[in-house]
Amino acid sequence: MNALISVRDIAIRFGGVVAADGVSLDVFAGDHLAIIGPNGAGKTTFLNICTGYLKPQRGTVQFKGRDILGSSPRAITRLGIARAFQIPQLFLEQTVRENMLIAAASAARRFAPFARLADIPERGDVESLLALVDCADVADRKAGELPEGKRKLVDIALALALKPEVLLMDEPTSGVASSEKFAIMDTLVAALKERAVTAVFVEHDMEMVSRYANRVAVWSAGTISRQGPPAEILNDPEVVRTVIGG
Amino acid sequence: MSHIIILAVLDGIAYGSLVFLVAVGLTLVFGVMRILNVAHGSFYALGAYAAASLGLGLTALGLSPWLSYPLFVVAAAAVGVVVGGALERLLLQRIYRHEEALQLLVTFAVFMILDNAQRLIWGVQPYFYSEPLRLLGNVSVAGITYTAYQVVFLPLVAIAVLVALRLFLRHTLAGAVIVAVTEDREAATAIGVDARRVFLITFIIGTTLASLGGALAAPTTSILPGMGADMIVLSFAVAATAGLGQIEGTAVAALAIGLGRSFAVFFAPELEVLMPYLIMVLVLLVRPEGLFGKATARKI
Amino acid sequence: MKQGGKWAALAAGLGLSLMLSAPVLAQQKPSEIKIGIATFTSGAASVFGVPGKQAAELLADRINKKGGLQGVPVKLYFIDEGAGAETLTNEYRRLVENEKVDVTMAAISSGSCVNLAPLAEDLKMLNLLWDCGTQRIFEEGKHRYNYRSQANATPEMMAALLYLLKKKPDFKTIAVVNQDYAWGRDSWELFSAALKKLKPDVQVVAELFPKLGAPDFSAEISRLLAARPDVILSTSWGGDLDTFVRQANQRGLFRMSTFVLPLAESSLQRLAGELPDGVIVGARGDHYFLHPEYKDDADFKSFVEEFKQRTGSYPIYPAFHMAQAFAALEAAYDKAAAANGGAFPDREKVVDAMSGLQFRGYGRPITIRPDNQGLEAQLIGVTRTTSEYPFPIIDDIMIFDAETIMAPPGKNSLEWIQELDASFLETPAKEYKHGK
Repeated sequence: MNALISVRDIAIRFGGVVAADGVSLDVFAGDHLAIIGPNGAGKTTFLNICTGYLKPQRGTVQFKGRDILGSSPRAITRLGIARAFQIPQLFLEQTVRENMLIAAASAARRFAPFARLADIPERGDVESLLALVDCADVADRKAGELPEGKRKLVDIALALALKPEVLLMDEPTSGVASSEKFAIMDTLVAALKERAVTAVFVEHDMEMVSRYANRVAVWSAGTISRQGPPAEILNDPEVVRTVIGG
Repeated sequence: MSHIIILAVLDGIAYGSLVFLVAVGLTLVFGVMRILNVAHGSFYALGAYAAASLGLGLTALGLSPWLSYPLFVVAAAAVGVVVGGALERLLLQRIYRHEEALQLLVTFAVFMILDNAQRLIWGVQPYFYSEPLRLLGNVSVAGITYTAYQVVFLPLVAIAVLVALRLFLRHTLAGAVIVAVTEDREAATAIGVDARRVFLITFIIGTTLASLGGALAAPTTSILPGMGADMIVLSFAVAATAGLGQIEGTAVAALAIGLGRSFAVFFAPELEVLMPYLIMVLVLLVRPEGLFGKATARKI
Repeated sequence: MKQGGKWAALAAGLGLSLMLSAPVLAQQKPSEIKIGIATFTSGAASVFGVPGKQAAELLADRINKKGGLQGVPVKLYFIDEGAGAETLTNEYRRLVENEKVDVTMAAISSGSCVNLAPLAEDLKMLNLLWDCGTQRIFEEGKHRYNYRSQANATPEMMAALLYLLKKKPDFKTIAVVNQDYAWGRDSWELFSAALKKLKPDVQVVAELFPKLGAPDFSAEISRLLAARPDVILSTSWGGDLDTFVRQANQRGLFRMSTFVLPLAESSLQRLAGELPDGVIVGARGDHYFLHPEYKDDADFKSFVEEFKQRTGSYPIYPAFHMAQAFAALEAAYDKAAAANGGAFPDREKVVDAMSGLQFRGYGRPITIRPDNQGLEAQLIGVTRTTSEYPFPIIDDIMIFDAETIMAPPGKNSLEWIQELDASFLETPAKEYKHGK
């Protein structure tokens, strides 16, 4: 099976700090791939490289066989890779629905400057997405007024509105109360499955990983040291020692 | 005494309307693009000259002076789209990533260049074209004669522009995108918005509004070299008082400054010239972000 | 006498006469006389500066056609007052020290004159104050190198006041709308001080000083419409005057009050159709392209026509002021040469010749007083629309002699005004009607 995203031998350093040194990874369609590893190890940097915010000194990244290193974040978004950020990047002064409509129109390449926002053809899809992420009840509230958990969901919904093939997420449940984490992840994964979106997420919560990921990649010392199904990886003593903490 | 107050209020509204039209374009550009466009005043002047030239052309061709009204819009759009668009595409685009001091210098240089260009094209003698104003005749309020153009037409235009901008920014797709880019350009780019196109459109809207202000001001005054410089200082004062980027706030600030100035003329003429800046300083001392501005924490 | 003695005497005689004639021979005629001129070629005041420049070029051409000043052609060098005080001062220095001009004419703005006059004294450069009006320069301090080839604010304002008092002796209220800078303030100070002295019962209902270059006088006009003064004075000029007149006209203020506009001669052509009849206008001197005493002179007519041909407009007072400056220069060179036995005079001799100099531009003759101030007649009249010209002409003209309406040399104008009494109202003037 061909990889959707194929990363080969990525290396990047900032001054004296080596963030990545020979990272290779494949993401296959339908994956819910979790990347785990110690804090500050370079995982977010890796996501930044994949989405065009950083350029590595060495290596290649291919999406559906096409080299995307050097493309701008906007171009990569348009190719089909969306990103949800650790701190949700929402337009706080606008309502949830408005945020979604803007994203949907952008994805549809809609350029009709005087079209009434509320009437664009994408609105139906926006409503169903909002329902999917369980945010229909807050659709008319300003994004800045939402609690953290809802904000995360909206951020993800926004990314989904772009109709991506792959969604990269940086710690989707960080900052969310433990009592809500499962609910949010359940909703999220259901939405991903519904829309056939491949997911890659950086995660620290091993419970989340074991429950929701189909593959795990271990990031350690600037490289991917192990890959495999969660049951295998999470019980590996080496992994437990270096990453999880015994 | 009370009828003097009515007069002062009317004069304030008339003056404030014109200042609003120019200042709102400046604040829109700053709000979205974070550029303080010193050349904004040049667009005001160019709009005035263009309107006067077109109007005088109408007279020369023997056509009805009522046509000058649609011509205002034509003149403003021509200047805004052609000169504003060219300026943004050819020059400003290259300096967005640079520090503000450089941006300010560049727009100042543009101002000087446009000022000279205007001198080359239209010379230094005063121009005037007051036909459109004459057409609307006079109205009498509290026994005092006013021109309908200044106390009825200009405020109506200002209100129309305010409403149109509000509707545009809040209810249309393009408006929502502009607001999004204003708030968080990176986030907008991340969801695929073409920020460069947004900047171009916003800049053209801003410069067209400034030119419209100039075109509408033309029938009321002598059109001279230097009118751009005066207007830019005043519009900065209004925009700063309102809080840079605040559209409705600009209307309030423009009205306040217009009223302040006209009340000064009636009751303390020595303060007339000072008044707009006095108001600005007082407001900024109390609220440095402007009347309606939000104190924003720096995003790292 | 012996043969050798005769030769010796002859040789001595020749030698002596050679020595005596040496100073005359040694003063070579220069190839050209360089004139540095400060005027406004940018900014709002270029409405004066540019006609002044155009007049200078026209006059220089005329002089050179006649062979120049004492046979030496003139060459003009212009510097721009609109560039700001500091640049102007540097430019003036450059003219004197690098270009090595022989004489300067500066300037239009009183501010420029206040800066440049002391500099001219320092650099020992003959300077003709060709247009600026501030009376203060020659009332404070002695000057050797600065001369004013025109009047100053005092007679200009006194003439306007006298005309008003003669024509409309019964007015009760007055308002002023002047530009907020030295000229606007000083001119009002002179006018109001004299008014208070001569007609103490007049009430000043508004004193408005909008900023120089103000684009809008609506609020001022509203206030005036509410206050209903009998007389409105404005010494504004250029775009400000144009805007004020237009806006006042649009709202009927001219129907309500008598306007006194001492600088309006320079705006008549531009304000065609906007300036109603009956407005009292002045010309900062006796300058008017239809000057009743000279309009039929061949020389006058040819100047007016040539100016119109070159520029498309009739000459206004800056052009006439420039003509006076050139006339003064020509007269000075002639007078100095005559005093020098017909030989070309050096600079100091030309400066000497300026004292008490008499000359004539295109108006009445002018004399330079012992305090270096020129005595220039003042022309005041009212606007009248006729079918002969597309703009209003000046009618019911009065021309006042300078001496009768100026503070004597060495006396401060405001002090002189305090000493005026009712007899001042009898100051004579020659009267003319349009077309006669």
